[in-house]
Amino acid sequence: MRHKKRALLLLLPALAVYSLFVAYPYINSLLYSFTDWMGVGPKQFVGLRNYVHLFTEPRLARPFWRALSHNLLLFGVSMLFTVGLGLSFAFILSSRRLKGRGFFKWVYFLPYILPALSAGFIWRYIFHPRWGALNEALRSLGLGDWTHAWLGELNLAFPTIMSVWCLRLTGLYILFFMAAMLAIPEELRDAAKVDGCGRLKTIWYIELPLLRPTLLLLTLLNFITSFNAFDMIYALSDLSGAPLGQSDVLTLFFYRTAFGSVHDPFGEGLGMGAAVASVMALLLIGVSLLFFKAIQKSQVEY
Amino acid sequence: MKINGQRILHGGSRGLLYFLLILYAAVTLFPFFLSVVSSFKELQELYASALTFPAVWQWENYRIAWVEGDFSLYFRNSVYVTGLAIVGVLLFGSMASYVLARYVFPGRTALSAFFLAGLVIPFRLAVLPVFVLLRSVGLFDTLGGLILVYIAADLSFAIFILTNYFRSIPRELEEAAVVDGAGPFRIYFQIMLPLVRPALATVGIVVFVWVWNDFFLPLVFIQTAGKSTLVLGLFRFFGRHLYEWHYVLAGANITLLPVLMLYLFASRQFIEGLTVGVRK
Repeated sequence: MRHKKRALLLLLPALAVYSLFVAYPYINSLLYSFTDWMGVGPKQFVGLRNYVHLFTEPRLARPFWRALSHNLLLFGVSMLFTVGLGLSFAFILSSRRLKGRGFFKWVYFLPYILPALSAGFIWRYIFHPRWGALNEALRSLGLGDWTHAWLGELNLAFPTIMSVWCLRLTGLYILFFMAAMLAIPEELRDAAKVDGCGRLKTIWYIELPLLRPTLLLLTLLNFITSFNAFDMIYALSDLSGAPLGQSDVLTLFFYRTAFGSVHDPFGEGLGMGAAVASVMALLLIGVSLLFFKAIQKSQVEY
Repeated sequence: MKINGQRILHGGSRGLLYFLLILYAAVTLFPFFLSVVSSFKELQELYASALTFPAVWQWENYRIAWVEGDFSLYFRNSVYVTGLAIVGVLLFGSMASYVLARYVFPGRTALSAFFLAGLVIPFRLAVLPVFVLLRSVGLFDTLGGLILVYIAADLSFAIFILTNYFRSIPRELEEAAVVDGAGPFRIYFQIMLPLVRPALATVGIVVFVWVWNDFFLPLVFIQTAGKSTLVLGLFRFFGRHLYEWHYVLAGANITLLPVLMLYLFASRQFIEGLTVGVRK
């Protein structure tokens, strides 16, 4: 039918742009990872050599595993924070008698929508060892012993960065949980009440189990976000994950590996960079599939 | 809920809850408040104390960031890139979504899955081949190249939202138009596009936030300083003014302001859109 054929033309622009700049690059990235290409000159096929080097050569393997462990730590800590705070505040905010709910929602969501790099610079100023607001506040409270070079000390830098990271994300999780709670029918809570459940018991026995699918989905999202961390960490440390790689994460490592050769002589070239990207993509796809299965199993019908 | 809610909110516990809510709101807002106050100080005042107001509010700091720091140029670049990326995503995305939602053709399910796959894997992991591709067609280090990349990277999200929205619109309106002999392009532009405006607004806001705030893609694809977007410009400005926090904070505030203004007027779309589209 002519009508339908012409309608298919409407698909073309999206299909062309998406294929060229998204689908084809994903596949190409995998192909690059089997070469030793530096970005210019001929590509040499080297099989799995990049992957072997990445996992065995100390100059690559050490920062790689360290960055990976930092991403996992970031994921774990941000789960505790965002789910803990997010759930608590969502429970508080879903009380209908509370005044100013809209205002609090608005404020809590604010850090999430602002540019992470800019917010990172502002926090960097707050944490400044000499001129920062945090140390000055501590000194003026007579807690001079508690002052630190928050972003400069080896064992403090990453925890400091993680707290900023969590503060940025918590508002998003508050909103997620509020939306999920709204979807729980009123009758269920009323029934629990009739059966003699107090508010906290209702939360524990009725609402939390019903929030299971949401929790699983948010865990997955948190995992993906944690492995995407770049802007904020770059702003609060630098490309090397200062101090001494204590704040290094995989996207920073990926950027250094791939583009180091363009900007400085220490990079490994596009082939090795693509290998790092492929390992990350594989990890994310694997974890996503696991979670999708678990989420499907846990779906609830009201 | 109401009865329980009443119980939990009575008396002292009610006061405690408000205290917690306000405390957390203060923690959230404080950095931005401090950034605004500090950006109006002189350097000597910053060195003397971080927790005081400026003696004289120095608008000069903003002039230095805007004029000498080239933020006026970066601002224009960001408006240009963000604007065209939004138009591109909305146009291409809604055209494709309309067909995917309304027409049955072989391979439709596979095509939908193909578009949605882009939602799972972060686009950052595909930047190397895109970098090579842009370089080989002469679009590396151009705003046009950057715009094309943003359109492609955000299409998955747009198609995901818009396809669902098109499906929710009753078919009667189009069927009448088909009987009148209207072709698919006219139906799409004249009948369907106006009907999906609410969804377009939501997608538009999300794309605005993603593109305006993005640091990674400009960092990879833009080299010439004069072609920086605002966030990349701030990053380079920071490198040149390492110890001049009053200028850096003025610059940071310039990048925040447009998002903040839009959030004031369209907070519902922000919340709706960004809780569905979590990726970056």
